[in-house]
Amino acid sequence: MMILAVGHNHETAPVSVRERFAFSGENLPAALEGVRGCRSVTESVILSTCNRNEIYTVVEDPEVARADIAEFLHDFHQVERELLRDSLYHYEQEGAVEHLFGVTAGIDSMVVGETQVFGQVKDAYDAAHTSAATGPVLNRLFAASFEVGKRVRHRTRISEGAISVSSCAVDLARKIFTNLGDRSTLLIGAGDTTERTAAALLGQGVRRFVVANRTVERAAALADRLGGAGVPLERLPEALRQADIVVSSTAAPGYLLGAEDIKSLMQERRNAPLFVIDLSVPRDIDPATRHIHNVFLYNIDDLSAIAEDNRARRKGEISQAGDIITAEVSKFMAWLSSLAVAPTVVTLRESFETVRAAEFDRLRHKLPPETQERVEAFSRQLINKLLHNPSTEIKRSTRRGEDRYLSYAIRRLFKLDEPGDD
Amino acid sequence: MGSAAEIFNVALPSLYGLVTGIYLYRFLRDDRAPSRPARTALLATIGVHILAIVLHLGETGRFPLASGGEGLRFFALCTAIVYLYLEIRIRTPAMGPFIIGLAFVFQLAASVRPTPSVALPAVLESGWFAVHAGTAILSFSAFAIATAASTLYVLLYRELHRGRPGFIFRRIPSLEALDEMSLRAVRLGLMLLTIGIATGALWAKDAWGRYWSWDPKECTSLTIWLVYVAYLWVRTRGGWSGKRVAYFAMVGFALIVFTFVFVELVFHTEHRFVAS
Repeated sequence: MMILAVGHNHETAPVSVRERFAFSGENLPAALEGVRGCRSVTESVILSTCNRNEIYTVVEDPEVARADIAEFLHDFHQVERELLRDSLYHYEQEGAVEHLFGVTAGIDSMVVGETQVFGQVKDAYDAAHTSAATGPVLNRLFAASFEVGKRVRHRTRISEGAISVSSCAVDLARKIFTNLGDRSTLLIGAGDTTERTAAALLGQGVRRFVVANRTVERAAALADRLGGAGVPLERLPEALRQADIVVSSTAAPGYLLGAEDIKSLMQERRNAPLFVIDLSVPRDIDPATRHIHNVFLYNIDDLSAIAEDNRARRKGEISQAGDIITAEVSKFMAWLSSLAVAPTVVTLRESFETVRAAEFDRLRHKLPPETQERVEAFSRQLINKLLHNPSTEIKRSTRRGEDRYLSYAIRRLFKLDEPGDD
Repeated sequence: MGSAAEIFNVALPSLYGLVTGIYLYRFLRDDRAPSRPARTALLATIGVHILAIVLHLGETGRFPLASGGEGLRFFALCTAIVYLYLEIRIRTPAMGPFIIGLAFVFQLAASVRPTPSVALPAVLESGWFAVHAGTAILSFSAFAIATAASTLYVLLYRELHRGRPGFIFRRIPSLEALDEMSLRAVRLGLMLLTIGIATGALWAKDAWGRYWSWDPKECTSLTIWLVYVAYLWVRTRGGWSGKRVAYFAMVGFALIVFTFVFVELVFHTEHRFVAS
């Protein structure tokens, strides 16, 4: 028995290839059925996201299974055999376990530390579980991978730090103002850039938006989407007075706001903090504004530099996440090897023997001395007879590749594992 | 004094030092480790400190507030308690290393200058004493916390203003939260100090026959009071905000340290009741 992962990701296959292999919610049950039809496959989970398509299986013979899975993909997606050969990677046993743990923890993602993949792995597992495609091994494996994902997220800083310009802007806003809900935002320009930033702010609870734009119609249209008001650019000074956060991105050739404008604005607003995000190139706001007290000015380069820093910091956390993963892989592998036949038979015998000895001890002093020996011999014989069939059957199952399942069943039925082990 | 006092003389600074260390470790690592160990250690330390006071009370029959060292020690306890309340309120232990660190410094100072073991002058037997000294010291704790918040404010402000948020940015709450904490602590401190000065005056009238005698410590207390009244005034009426008020709070606290250390050492004062 072996765990096998077959698939490709954003590093090994371009999107033009990945899209041809993608599984959707609709065809997933059929696909799971198809994988189950492959020879030697006993359990399966299909994980398909925009960055990866992977099939996790438990198989008896990895060579046979790989050939059949490739054949299945060929039939199911109508992809050429050469493409299959060139674009797929394979991981077996420990390699497959480690790979899944890395995927779930987000270190295999395009954006390191992203947490969306965790939910996607969970959905993939749930779908397979619902279709009864999983069994004890994959159940245990995926449960362990969710633990790893959570642990990595909590114990490392791999998911911390904004990595897009708009989320960086939001992070900064949250360090200036405690409650974004009672702050007003002025958007200068009604293009995609301001809208993206506004959407990020909206997501963090900002509710009051004013959009100032050269053409009022566009201002009003964006304002409608955000639930705010649109004003023409001429009314900018007035709109500024109400704002705590200013996001500017226009095509204006020069500065829309000079340092002197902001200085007098600050006097009017009694020096209350003002967060200014200038996403324009060329810039809309005089960079000298930066030096005014209680004005926090960030341009596109500042924000990109922060995002880049955060990306580097996340990558720096990979090795720490790797330590957690390594530890969990060996824990899982220990469990897996406990399912081997020989130790299971030994443990089963030991557990019977413990019960027998205990029961006999309780009985011993009630028996006349001359019968004690005979009763004990009888008890030994009894458990030997009882254990004979299970022992030979489980040994024979090795040849049929069912050994781990029988082991698993026996271990559960007779509670052979330490409490908390399962 | 008995050996219990000597044990506490070593144990209290050690405990406060340990708690500061735990908070500092957590602050530097910022590994999102649970804040529970630090808080538990702080609670235990406060417990030991209160036990020390109770034992002292049982042994000598008076509240340990008469000498400079005892004042420092009570100051450390007040700061720890006010901080604990604050940590639970604002849900971040990020200020711990600074505020508990301050309590630790005061503990250390108190142990280096041990409490003289002489009989109390009759003047300290009055009921006014506990209220007067207690509120005055509690007010200093509040000012200390305001100062810590203001210091962090300045650090965060500088990172944000320079456009390269980094170390501080990732560890502490927002500017607005720090500013508000500072303001609240100053309001509380000023209220307590007002009570402290007023009860002191009433008590002085009772004990010495006059409300105010321009004693050096009375003068500095009045200065502190004026500084923090001015702080509130520039904030509400003067249109000051941001970094400026934070600096203001820091300067105000420098004055308190001055009272405690310099005046105590240099001037002859009615507030130094116990000969050393």
